[in-house]
Amino acid sequence: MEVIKTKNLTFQYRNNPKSILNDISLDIYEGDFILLCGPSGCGKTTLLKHLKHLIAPVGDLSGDIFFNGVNIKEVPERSLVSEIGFVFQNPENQIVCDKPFEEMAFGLENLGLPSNEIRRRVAEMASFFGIEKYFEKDIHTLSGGQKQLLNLASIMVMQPSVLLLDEPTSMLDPVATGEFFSILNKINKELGLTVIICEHQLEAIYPIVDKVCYMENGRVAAFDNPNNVAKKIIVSGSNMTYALPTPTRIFTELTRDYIAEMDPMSIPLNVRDGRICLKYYVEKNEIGPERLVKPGADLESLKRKDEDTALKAEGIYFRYKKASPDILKNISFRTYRSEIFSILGGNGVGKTTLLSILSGINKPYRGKVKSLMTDSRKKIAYLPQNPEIMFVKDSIREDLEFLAETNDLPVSIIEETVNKYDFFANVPEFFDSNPLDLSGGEKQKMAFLKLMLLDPEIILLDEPTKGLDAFSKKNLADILNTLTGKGISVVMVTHDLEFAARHSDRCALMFNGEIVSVDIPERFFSNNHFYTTATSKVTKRILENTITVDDVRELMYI
Amino acid sequence: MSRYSNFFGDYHPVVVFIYYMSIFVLLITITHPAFLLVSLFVLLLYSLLLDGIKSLLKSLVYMIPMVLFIAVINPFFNHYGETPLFYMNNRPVTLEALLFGVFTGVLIIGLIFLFKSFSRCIDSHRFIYLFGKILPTISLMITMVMRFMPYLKRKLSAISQTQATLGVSVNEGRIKKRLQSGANILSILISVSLEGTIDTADSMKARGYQLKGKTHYNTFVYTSRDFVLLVSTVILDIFFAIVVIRGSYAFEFYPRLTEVSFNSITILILVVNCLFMGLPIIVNIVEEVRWKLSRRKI
Repeated sequence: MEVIKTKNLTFQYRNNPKSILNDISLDIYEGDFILLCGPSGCGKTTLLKHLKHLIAPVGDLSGDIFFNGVNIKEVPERSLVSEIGFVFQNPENQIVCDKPFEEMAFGLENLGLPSNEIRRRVAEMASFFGIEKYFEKDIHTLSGGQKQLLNLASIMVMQPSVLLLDEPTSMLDPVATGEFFSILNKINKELGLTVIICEHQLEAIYPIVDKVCYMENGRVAAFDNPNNVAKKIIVSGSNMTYALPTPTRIFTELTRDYIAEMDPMSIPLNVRDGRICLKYYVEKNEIGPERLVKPGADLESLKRKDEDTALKAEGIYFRYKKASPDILKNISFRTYRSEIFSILGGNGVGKTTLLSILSGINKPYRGKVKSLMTDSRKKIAYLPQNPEIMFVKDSIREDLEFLAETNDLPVSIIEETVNKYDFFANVPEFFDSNPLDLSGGEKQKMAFLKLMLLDPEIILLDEPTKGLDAFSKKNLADILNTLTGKGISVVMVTHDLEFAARHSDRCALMFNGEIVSVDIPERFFSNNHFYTTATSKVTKRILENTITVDDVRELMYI
Repeated sequence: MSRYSNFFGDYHPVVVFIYYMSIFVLLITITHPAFLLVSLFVLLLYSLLLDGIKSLLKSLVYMIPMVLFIAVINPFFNHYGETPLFYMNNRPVTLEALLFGVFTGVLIIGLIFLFKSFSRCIDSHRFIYLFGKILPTISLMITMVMRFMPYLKRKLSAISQTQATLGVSVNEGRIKKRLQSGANILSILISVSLEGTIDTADSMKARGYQLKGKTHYNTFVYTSRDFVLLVSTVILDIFFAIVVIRGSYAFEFYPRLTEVSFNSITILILVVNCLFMGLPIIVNIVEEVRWKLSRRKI
């Protein structure tokens, strides 16, 4: 019997004529590991919330949801709480208490379990998730990855039979994401839980799920095994193709003329299978060794002149308090006009601190930051991780006018700036919206508009791709390329290796407060074994100098 | 400057709560300057033991101006009392009112320190244990507030730093502009944080906060030492109830200050008060000694 069954589920918010969910019928069986995916606004989160009846959004709902054969409206609240677990997107906001052990006990206390039982279950889960290390620490001292694992553990103690997760890793770095998914896989495979997860970044999750439900405009466009759905997405040519795992996308490039006739099961989803396919392709088509090496960039031509320097950091040392250790040690580098400079590195190596120094928010105790283009600090613009903290007013229009006013600029500058760049063409339609109501990508674009009003020459970005779907990332890349085309220098701190590889001119690796290497992406990523892009992993020792899917395409179709 | 662990907080939350309520009631009912001074001394001593001299001085730096402010303000609004110091607009500024102002200021400091030591013993988990059943909504709000404090602090600094790069800053420009900037920064802080609380509310609902018949994780078992503390608190409560009813420690500011006289009874009351207020200190010292002894036996 199905654990969860939805029958002709249709839902719309009041005051909004458009249906968010449209005639959704799904059968989900015990032990299924299901990925819900689709472009932003396709209704995947809404569907997921309806499955956890208690937090279903308010609006007009028709159709039925059955949980273990019983209509979900008739299931007692108590079993809805314990049987169906829900993990939210933002690791911070869903935490209620201030200590991990309290947080884990929270659900069990509400369910009214005897204290001994709570003690046993919390202990059991804490050791399963490796939470003992920070069991009694203050929660605000934990990393995002630790918080999200804690949230999962706080659900698992209630021993649910179904686990629903709404983009749980969109705020995490790649290492924490990998850890989270491996524990999720363990829960599904070893404990037999039914898992339904929403994601828009499919790279890591796609290979480990059993079924994929692909949604478009509130409808289920495909619900099948990952290979079949992958083929369907590829053949339809939708934007979702960019979100598929890299090995799949490389395969698509190689077989693009005849993929419609391919057996879906031969589509590779992980690096191992991707390598096998690539090797086979190279051998079968007898591609000569000269076509396996992407010609290296001409380093001489990339050499920049000193007078093109935009920003120059000279021997920067920084610590937050006199008695605390150095966060940044002897950091020296320069960025140039018309360049995207990416700073990569794990959590807590000082990347964000470095940005705060460059933007002038913090001062180094030794060393200097020189902006060689102008001497005005306002020419350096800073886009924080959450662009929402850039907006002060209730509507975009008021906000922009306020910015112009505070900086003694004429109001007409808003229109001028909008007209100056193509990618701002659609922004006026959002002028009356509240900034907080916009999607992540839209918010970011508005934030860019704010920055551009100040006409900066250097833009600093902190994790600009965090929480963005594939489509918004593409928009971001367009914006960055246009800006650098106008001579602006962009410095970004990121965990997103694929994005950095595709779009930066140079990458720097930070480790332990120091910059340990700076190089062009090609050499940076093809020299790394683990800290590198998926394309580089797939093509290593088969092709050379290929770090993005585009590189592979160029090489194979000269 | 040693930092003692707070053994007093390990007692059963109900007992600790009853103890602190008793002290609170005592502080606000007995309006005798000598009594207040002794109480304040003990409270400061406790704070010194827990947080060290630096933190104590830091909080005093903020508080002393407050006492002075209340002391100065009170006589201008309050003209009771028989000993005029001078006249302003034909209304007397009296010694009694001045002293009452000082008294109120000191009382407020005492209450602040009392609350500080209370919050060291009753953390959010214990608070919910105490009030989860009686006041579900209020205890919910308090948990959320406690959890949000560090986040708000961090968000506030992120917001003000970002806004400073956009020309909105409380550190630059004319006063009017600074105030405006401050208001703007606060309004973002509020709206951004409110966004987050919607998730928090959903997460609580999804985990059954609304269900009836909650239990609690830390059982906080009653042990014999909790019983001892409870009995001592009750006995001392009765003692002070008698003191209040018999009026042995009454003190009036208006119309004229009651004469302060010390006799064996009033001294006894002060000593007992020291013991009562000092219970957490006594407990901590006893436990510290016990721990040191246990180390020595190994």
